[in-house]
Amino acid sequence: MSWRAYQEGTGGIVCPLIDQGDYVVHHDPFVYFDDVTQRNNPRAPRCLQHVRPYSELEADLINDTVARYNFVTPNVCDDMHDACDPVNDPVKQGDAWLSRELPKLLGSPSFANNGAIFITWDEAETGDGPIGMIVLSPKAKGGGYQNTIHYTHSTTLRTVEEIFGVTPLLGDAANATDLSDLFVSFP
Amino acid sequence: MPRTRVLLLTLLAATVALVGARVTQAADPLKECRLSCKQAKGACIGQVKHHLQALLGECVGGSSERRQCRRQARGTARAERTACGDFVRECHTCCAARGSDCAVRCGDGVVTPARGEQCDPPGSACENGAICDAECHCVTRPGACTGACPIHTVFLILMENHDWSSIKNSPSAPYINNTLLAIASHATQYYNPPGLHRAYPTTSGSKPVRTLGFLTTRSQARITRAARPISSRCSTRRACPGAPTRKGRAASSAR
Repeated sequence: MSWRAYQEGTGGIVCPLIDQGDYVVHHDPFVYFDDVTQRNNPRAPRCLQHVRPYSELEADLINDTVARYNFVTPNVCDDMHDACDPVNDPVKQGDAWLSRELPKLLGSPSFANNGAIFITWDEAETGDGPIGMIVLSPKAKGGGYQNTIHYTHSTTLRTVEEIFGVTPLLGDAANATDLSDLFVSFP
Repeated sequence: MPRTRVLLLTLLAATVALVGARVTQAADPLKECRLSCKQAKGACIGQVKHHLQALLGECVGGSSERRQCRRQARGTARAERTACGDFVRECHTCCAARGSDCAVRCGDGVVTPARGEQCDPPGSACENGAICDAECHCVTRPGACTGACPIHTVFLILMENHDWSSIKNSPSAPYINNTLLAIASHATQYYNPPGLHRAYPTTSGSKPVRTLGFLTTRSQARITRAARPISSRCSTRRACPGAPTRKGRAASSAR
């Protein structure tokens, strides 16, 4: 199955194994896998093929050449991590970034053709949450629908595995409830 | 005898000439191959320059912050130029081994089946009606369908470090609250795994990977070793009054 990680702030010429500008490597899970980086090789072909600059996403959307699984990491100013000049309000910065970038996704053929966008946060500020999980899809109930079912990140892992028919369910995904209640039909 | 000697010398000369011609012919493809490597390196360096300009354009703030940012950008460009050099060396090795299409890259507009390409450039139409993907493969997309067609494409966008209560109804998040939530479905009881802050104090952002159950203790240890200290952007590059200080950031590196 095709997959790609779009990382804002990377250049795409080397596998991004170190921080550069507002890109921080620890927000990019894929470069922690040896089969992706060939044990931290900056020229690893698999990494160069799959871990791409976020700036390439727009063209991929226009050309309808995105992968089936796309992991998007905004930089630390845009993902609500850091307060950055001139706004100095992480939530406002992230909201502004979503307002600029989401319309590109929502208007793409990939989204229209049974696509699904999941927006979530890595963790709460101090405790365990709740944190956000927003689902956009032509197949989602939408219209402001919300539920109070207990979910965790294992929920997202299970949901993605079910969408792509990947087995076995990894780790705690086997015990989690999927996000199917947020959709009209699933997967 | 002299006539025989002349004949032998003529044959020898002809043989030398033929061998020489063959050697000359064999040298040409090598030269061409190395030239294509050089051209590909030029394109690579061009990309590096373009990226460097983009990085330098992001350097804002006070003079010391700008200096630090520019130094970092130039360091990135140096690493990328080194990678271009690595590529050209690999290309030359390929040429020396009489490999074919040593400098081929997906995106050069030429379909090279020997390198597994089915189309080029990405985004162009394939003969079977599919669209050429980023790896130069003709991937057939499903036709438009309604009803119970399965989800085909997933985008997962990962934001950072906020409770839902800090987002929902926040005046700082008008797009999420007024636009996205109106057309989306959302969960109000979605949690990070219990005890995340306490359990992973030294592994920085690898926690999503860990909590999704992919990693063994050994690979987690390797990640911890590989993880470099986060560059202190706020204390050097930007004025971030609300953000953690360098000392505070180091203490709470799990975030």
